[in-house]
Amino acid sequence: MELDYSDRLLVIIPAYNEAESIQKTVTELNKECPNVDYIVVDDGSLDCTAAVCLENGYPLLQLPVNLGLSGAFQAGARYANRMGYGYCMQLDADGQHMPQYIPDMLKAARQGADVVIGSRYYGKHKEHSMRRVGGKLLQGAIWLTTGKKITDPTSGMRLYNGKLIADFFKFPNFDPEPDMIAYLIHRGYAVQEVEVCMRERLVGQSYLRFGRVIQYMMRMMLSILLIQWFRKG
Amino acid sequence: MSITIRICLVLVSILVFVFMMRRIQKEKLLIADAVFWIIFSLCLLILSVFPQIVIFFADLLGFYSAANLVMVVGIFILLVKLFSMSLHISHTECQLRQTIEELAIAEKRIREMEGKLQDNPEK
Repeated sequence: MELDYSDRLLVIIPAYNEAESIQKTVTELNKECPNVDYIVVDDGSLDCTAAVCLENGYPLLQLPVNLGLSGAFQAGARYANRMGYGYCMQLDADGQHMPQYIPDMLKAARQGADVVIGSRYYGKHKEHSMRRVGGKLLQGAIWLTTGKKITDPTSGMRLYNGKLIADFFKFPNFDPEPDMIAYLIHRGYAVQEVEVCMRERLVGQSYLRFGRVIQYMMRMMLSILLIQWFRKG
Repeated sequence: MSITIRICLVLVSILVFVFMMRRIQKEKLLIADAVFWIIFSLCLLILSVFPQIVIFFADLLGFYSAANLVMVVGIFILLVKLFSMSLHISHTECQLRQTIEELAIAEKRIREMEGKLQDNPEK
């Protein structure tokens, strides 16, 4: 029997060396959203992340080499497209993203948003950390070039409409990063934010190591402020 | 710096910029890889429009002419970039090999499982 996935959501959980937290994350997801499909993408982990997933019977894509967050998400998007899912989203394996907000985000997408960002700062005015400074810079750059205020451009908790899923593996510069938000606004897609809370990282290492933050920021700023103008609309 | 060199630098910088942007438009180049070239071309542009910067450092370091300093620094930066690209290519090559090997092993397993299924189709 062919299943119709066109109105269903696939939660993509990219995991790199998350053996300690993956079980907790998936258990919480199953408890909060029992009707939502998910897939763990093991991004060539060096620890036993994949073994933990297989032991517990989690659906798993195991990448033979480490591709980084964009590559791991792209693998999930390719799978979502192959299965015909109508929506896909990223949920971090480290427990930062709380699955209880998934229904709100899915609702916004069903009401017509093409991208739904789970924002920590939507409707709030607090927290001043280094990460916030970077986020503010990117927010300013996006506002300057598109005229739209995105309160949490670095949030990884984003949900995408089926229209966009295929673009992730068709276009090499279509990464789940802040500059893509600017690109999508330019192209007239509806980008919407939904208020969420996030936890501090429980265990493991962030994809964004501190030494790389400067390089990352430079790339994003250059991309949003300069390169996006020259990309095809 | 002579006006000829300055015009050359401006032209080179515009050409690099246009070329990179066209590659990005055609989805043939990753933005992450283009960042180096875009910053490189912006630097060339700034230096050719404000040659005082180059002249100041050439005097400071005792270079015979400002153009010499541009050449030396340019060659040095490109050497470093070339070296880092060699490292990057080696890494990519290793990953590619690993992926193809894993794919071949997975394909063999699937083939054998399909063969077993055909041998005893009741199961």
